[in-house]
Amino acid sequence: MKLADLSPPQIRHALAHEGLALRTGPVVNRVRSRIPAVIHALSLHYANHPVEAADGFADFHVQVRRPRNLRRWAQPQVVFDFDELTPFAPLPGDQGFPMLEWGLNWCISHHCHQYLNLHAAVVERDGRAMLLPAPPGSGKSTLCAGLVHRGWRLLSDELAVIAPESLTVQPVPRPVSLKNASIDVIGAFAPEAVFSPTVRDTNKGAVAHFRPPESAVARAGQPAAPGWVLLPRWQAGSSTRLTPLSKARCLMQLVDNAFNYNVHGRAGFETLVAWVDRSDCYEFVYSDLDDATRLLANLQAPA
Amino acid sequence: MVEDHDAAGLTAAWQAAAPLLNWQLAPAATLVWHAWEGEVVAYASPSASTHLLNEASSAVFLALSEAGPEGSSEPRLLDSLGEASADDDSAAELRQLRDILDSLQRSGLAESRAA
Repeated sequence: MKLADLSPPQIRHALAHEGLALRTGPVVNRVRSRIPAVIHALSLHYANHPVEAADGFADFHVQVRRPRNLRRWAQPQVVFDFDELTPFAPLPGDQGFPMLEWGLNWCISHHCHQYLNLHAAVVERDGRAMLLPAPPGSGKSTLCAGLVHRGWRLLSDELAVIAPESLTVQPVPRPVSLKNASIDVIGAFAPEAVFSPTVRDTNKGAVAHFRPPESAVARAGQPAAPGWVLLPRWQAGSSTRLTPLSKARCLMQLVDNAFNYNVHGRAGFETLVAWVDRSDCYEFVYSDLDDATRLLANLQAPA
Repeated sequence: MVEDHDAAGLTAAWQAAAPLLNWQLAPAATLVWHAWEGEVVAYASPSASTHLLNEASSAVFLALSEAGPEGSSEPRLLDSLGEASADDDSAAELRQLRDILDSLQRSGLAESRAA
């Protein structure tokens, strides 16, 4: 059953009581919230996601709620609960859905240690994954969003979840987070994208999410093999440049962008060596998204 | 060892200042590494640290790898690197080699013992 198969009252009831068991790729998140904006955004963005049985197993039990203090009326805030813990400081009251998304990313990156988790967007074509590891502000999510609207499958805009035994990347197709100018860039580049309202003045600036393509959610059970590592960098006014990167340097970039490399230790190193060994590695500078996606459309898969 | 020493043309002054050592890679139980086109990345388990070696360090590391578990003396390493030169330059080259080897040792990637 998909979330869209439930009526709005059923969704509200589940979120307010037992929780909505949303499957996002390899994990099930039992989500609770009574905040209208969160309920609306969940209904919009997760419409195509599977809903598991209410009494079934869930990997994570999370809640976005108002704090239990007087500020809930004066200056509303939101908090994120993980099991019975509140791991983060409260945020302004209109940031409930972004906080839920950031919290769900944290659940995987800091708890799913059966996988090697990298801070990277991931897209797929012909069964091969392209990792886009990069620090905030590098244009990673913008490029990911552009590629997703030009034939690549979305695996994640934030997390590369790598199974060490198979080296495959597990899809975690969830709403794609865009910031500041990227929101209008993708709005113009892909008018068909379904956005939730922009939330302003977050610690990342203005943030808006767009709904993951239905086909990406439907294929969430299909992992992807190593293909490419691309280090994207948006640079105003630049021409589009794809430059080969040595595999050794590429590996160090992946280490720098790993969330739980220290947990895996030696096995983590061996996993990344094997991943890079099977991939082609590039640095990629762009300013024009049309040009960038055209160039990458012609990228050949490694042998 | 002495023959190696002579072959590399070490000066007497350098011998006195720095006794020769035999070098080898850290044991496989604590070191895992990979090289692509002569560029080495290595993981040292005791420090849980990952290293990208520069061109010179990669060449020395790979020479140590070829030497196997018995390791290699410094002059022999210079020979294998094709760096052995005549007379006056050899001491400087050995010092450079020793710097690299010391750095590899500090990173947990190589070990030394008296030659």
